[in-house]
Amino acid sequence: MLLLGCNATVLREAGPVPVEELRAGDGVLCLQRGIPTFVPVEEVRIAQSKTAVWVYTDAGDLVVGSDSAIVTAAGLRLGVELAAMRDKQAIGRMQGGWPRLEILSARVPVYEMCDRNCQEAFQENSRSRLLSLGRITQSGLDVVRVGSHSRTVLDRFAQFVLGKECTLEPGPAGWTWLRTTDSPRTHKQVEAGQDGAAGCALTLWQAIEEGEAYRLPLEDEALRIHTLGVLYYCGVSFETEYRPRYMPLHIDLSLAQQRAPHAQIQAIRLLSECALVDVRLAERGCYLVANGLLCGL
Amino acid sequence: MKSADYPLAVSKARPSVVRELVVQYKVGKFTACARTEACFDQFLEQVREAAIEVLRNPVRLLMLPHLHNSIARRIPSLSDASRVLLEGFVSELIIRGDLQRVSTVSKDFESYQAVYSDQTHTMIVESLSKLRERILSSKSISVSAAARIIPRALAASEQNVHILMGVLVYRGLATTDAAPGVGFDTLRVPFAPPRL
Repeated sequence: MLLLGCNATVLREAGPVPVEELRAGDGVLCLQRGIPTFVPVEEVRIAQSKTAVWVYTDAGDLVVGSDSAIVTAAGLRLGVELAAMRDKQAIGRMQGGWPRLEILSARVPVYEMCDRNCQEAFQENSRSRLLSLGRITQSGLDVVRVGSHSRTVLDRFAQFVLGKECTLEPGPAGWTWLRTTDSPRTHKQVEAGQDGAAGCALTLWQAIEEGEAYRLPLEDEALRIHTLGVLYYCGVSFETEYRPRYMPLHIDLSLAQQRAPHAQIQAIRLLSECALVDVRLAERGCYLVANGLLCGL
Repeated sequence: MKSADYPLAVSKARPSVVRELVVQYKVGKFTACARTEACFDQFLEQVREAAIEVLRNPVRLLMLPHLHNSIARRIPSLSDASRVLLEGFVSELIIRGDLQRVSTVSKDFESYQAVYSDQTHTMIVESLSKLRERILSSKSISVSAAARIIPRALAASEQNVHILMGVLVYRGLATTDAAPGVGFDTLRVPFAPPRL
């Protein structure tokens, strides 16, 4: 049994998707004897609210059921076991003797494993997903919240995601907003490619250092998890820092030259009630890649 | 709990006292010592009770340094060597979920954490949702209008209202035309006419 948080993202050939949107028969990226393989899903169902563990690492975060297993350098560990490893003699501090976690290697970008049709589907899915994640108004003209990035970055986002001419309003606290104008479409929607799709996802984050470091409040869960999924799918190396460390409120993400082979746990949190999704695969003996981390089945 | 049983920060206490206290834990950024392991649990409980009283009676959202000061005033005979440990004990209460936080912005639009009791969590979440709905439907919202649509217990303090409105700014869901440092009276949705 593998229980994952509803927003946990798995990788299909056509890009990242939240587990709750999976259907039986969908192929999801797994590691089978160390080889990345798309394995069909047998069943996906919403589980009753259960205890869960939220694991924050330098390679992203993941919510798993307390009795679900994550693959570590020291073998499979249940969520509840990882939570119990927090040092009880460190009050108000997040430290523990946690093993390193196995993650999806960046050596084989998933994007390049997929055929042209899947890559095009990924581009199209990215466009609609980023628009829905960035939109802050419910009706009328689209107003999209983006980070306060350079005009070049925002123009590229507008061209790829909105495909329309935009006006811009800079705001406080590191945000800027884009609004599509009433004029007919003036941009041809372009194909952004894998780097462009990843860049557009990061445009929805606040800019700390232009093109290198980004920040997002932790409550923007769907956007955070989707972005991490896109980065894993596109083979973009990155590191995450969850702050404040004792119990995070925001995430800092920096692009890295190389992805570390393992993830280090930064913080861990027990959740007494959490909506989870039960994922079953059609094949046994493989590890599901969820939010870039490997999970046991 | 007797004040003699309070944990002490090793670096702040007299060496002769520290030698008597055989149990050492890390508390926040300090190494702390106490007579027994139970002293740490009992002090944590005392800090928890004080924090809940501060944040619930009346309902308040407070920034961390203010919460530490208010807790310190409620714990009798608290020495400086124990007082510096409050930050770590409050962090532990946040880790355990007794206290909750929300990120908001100051008058200068600098982000900071406001802490509140777990028992008011639902009220805070619902109030934020109401503020968000109102600003989307009306395109703008004033502090006085915001105070009318959130529960009276929360709106009793104008600071609470400002903190909650600041959450919308922090999350990039609303903006203001007030200059940094002045403080805002009104928020509006982006691209709505300015409210000066």
